Amino acid sequence: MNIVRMDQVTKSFGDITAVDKMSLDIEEGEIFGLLGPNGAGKSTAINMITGLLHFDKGSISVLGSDVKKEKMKTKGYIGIVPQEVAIYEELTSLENVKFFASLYGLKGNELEAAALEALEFTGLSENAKKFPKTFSGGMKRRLNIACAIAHKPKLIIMDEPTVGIDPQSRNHILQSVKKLNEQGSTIIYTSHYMEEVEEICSRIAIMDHGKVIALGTCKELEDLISDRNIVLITVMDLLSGIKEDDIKQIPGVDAVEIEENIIKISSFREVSNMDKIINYFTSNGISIKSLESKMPDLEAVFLAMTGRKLRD
Amino acid sequence: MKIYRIIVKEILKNVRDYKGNSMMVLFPIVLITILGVSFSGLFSGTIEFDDAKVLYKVEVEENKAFVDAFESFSSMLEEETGIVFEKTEDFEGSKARVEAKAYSALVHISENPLQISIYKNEGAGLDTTLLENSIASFIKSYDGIMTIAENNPAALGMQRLQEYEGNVQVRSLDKKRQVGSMDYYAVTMLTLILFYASLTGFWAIRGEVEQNTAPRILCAPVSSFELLTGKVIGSIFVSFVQGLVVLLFSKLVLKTYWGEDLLSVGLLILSYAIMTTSLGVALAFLIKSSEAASGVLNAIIPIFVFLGGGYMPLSAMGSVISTISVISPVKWINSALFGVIFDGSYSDMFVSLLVNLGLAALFITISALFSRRRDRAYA
Ligand SMILES: Nc1ncnc2c1ncn2[C@@H]1O[C@H](COP(=O)(O)OP(=O)(O)OP(=O)(O)O)[C@@H](O)[C@H]1O
Ligand SMILES: [Mg+2]
Repeated sequence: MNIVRMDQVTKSFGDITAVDKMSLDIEEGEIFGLLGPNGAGKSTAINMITGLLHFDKGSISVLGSDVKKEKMKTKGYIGIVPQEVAIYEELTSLENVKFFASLYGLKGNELEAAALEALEFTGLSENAKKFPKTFSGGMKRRLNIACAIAHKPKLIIMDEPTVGIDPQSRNHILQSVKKLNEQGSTIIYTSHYMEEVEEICSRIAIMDHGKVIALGTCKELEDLISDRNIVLITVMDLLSGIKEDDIKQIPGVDAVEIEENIIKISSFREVSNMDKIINYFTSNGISIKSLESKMPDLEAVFLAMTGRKLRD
Repeated sequence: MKIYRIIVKEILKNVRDYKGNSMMVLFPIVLITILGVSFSGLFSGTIEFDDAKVLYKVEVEENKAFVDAFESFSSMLEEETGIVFEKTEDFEGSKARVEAKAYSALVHISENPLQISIYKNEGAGLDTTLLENSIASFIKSYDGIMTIAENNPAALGMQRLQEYEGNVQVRSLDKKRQVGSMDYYAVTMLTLILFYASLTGFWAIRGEVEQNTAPRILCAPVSSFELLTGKVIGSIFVSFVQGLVVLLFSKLVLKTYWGEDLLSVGLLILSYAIMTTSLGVALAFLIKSSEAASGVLNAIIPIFVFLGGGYMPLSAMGSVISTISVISPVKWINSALFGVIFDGSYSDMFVSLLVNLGLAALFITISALFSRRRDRAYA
């Protein structure tokens, strides 16, 4: 059975169409990645699945139940890790987890045990009696996750759970996601870090401007641009006055991204334009430090599909 | 069950908020003490009243000793404060002269039962308040002396007064018991601080927004109605208990007088806490900025409290202020409490209950309507 089915869902805030005729089927057992730049509509899509936001058009069902008609039931299936850390500074870690789990109907010994297990799982057992005030950003993020999983939801939705934390905590979180999935939960994971999504997700939807612009496994997505060649050119000078638009004029080039002194150029494979690209740099008096050809990745997929880079 | 969880969480969260608690509990206790002591001049004799004149009429055949005691007391008061006592026989004429404001008050000592009545004008000045308080304390000490005299007359060299039955009392036109400054400020500081309980209500909602926890709760199988109900009940409970702590502390430690009918006092305080807390809750839905909201509260609270006689007795202020004070719910709770505590009168209590619960119903309705605007309610 589909764990989530979105059908032609649209949601506007005033003039902004945050989610635009979005359709999506997520199957039980997946780690489903929702990848997109800031403002793509990832959080909006998620908030409609959890029943937090009303939507204007379309329908959403969770485990076969309509989120509008059977709201309390579908809400109960889900555990949400919100994008912004949502915990009480005045309550201890354990009290935080217990409070949120109790809203899903857990009580007594069962509640206590489930809360302790969630803290253990997120590596916070030793901080169970401590107040989050004293926690690092990474610890708060982990507590944010513990509060979502204690009631053992069938579907766990994580909205950018790794924003702004140290690599160690990030690794811990990525491993936890895999483990939760192995223990039987379906996971929706949003991010704008494509490395993360590439590492853990079985299927990925790329969103932009409220629309799903590509959907498939990592491999399938990369195949979409198998007709492209990616070159990375590193130049000596940061302020070398390179113009994106000038490079796009070169035959065969379909997307350009400039990040400091690295220029990423995607071109169609069948056009051989390497000499013309190199010529652009040398004729403008810009010295090239290195040049490498790159395997296609999600970043490149996004670049090719939108002409923009994933991160700003 | 979920509402219960939210209530318990709200209480726990507030118990942990030491800063908020000390403001809500310690602050009024300190204020009661300081104001009670420093403004005691408003209520007992340290101020000079050179031109104040008081008439007194004695209608006593049997308790001559009491009259003697009163006359030595009044001459002592004359010396200390400058209030002049003039004896009169004409009861009705004297009352008219008090009404015409030629005299501040008429003191009437009568028998069967033995009692002192003070007739004064509505909203009379400080000299009358001073007079009332002094007479009350005179009666208290007379009472004490009588007790000693009954047990060991020789020690005082007084004759035993068999007629005395312990029913000496002060009765003014509108007060049955004297109000000491500490008693006064215990009531008004409690209602002052409980007005600030609206901040508890405000933060109950706003805190959930700023910590991003409201959306998280609403993602669980909890309706916006359950969330709001839990928050409102939880914060009302917190405010009410804070009020009770102040009340009990002032009663037991500061020994202020809260009257015989603590149940009615408690009921009034509860209704008032419900009103102020739900005001804060409604404000949290109407004004999203916490600076703006606390600005609004900090602007209106002192005005309403002032109009409620919170800082100074209304009788010590002009009649214009007395008139417009009816718009202040603080005026109603204060006069209701004074009525119940000192007069045994309940008419203002029902007005106050009506005002408090009516306003609370309005505020909660506003909150309920706004809390259903999903996208924006907790943003
Ligand atoms: N409550 C709201 N009111 C008005 N506009 C909103 C609201 N929530 C989101 N939007 C707008 O909808 C669009 C999609 O926002 P959304 O938060 O879903 O993006 P996102 O993909 O989660 O981005 P990010 O990576 O920054 O979290 C944005 O243009 C945003 O400004
Ligand atoms: Mg987002």
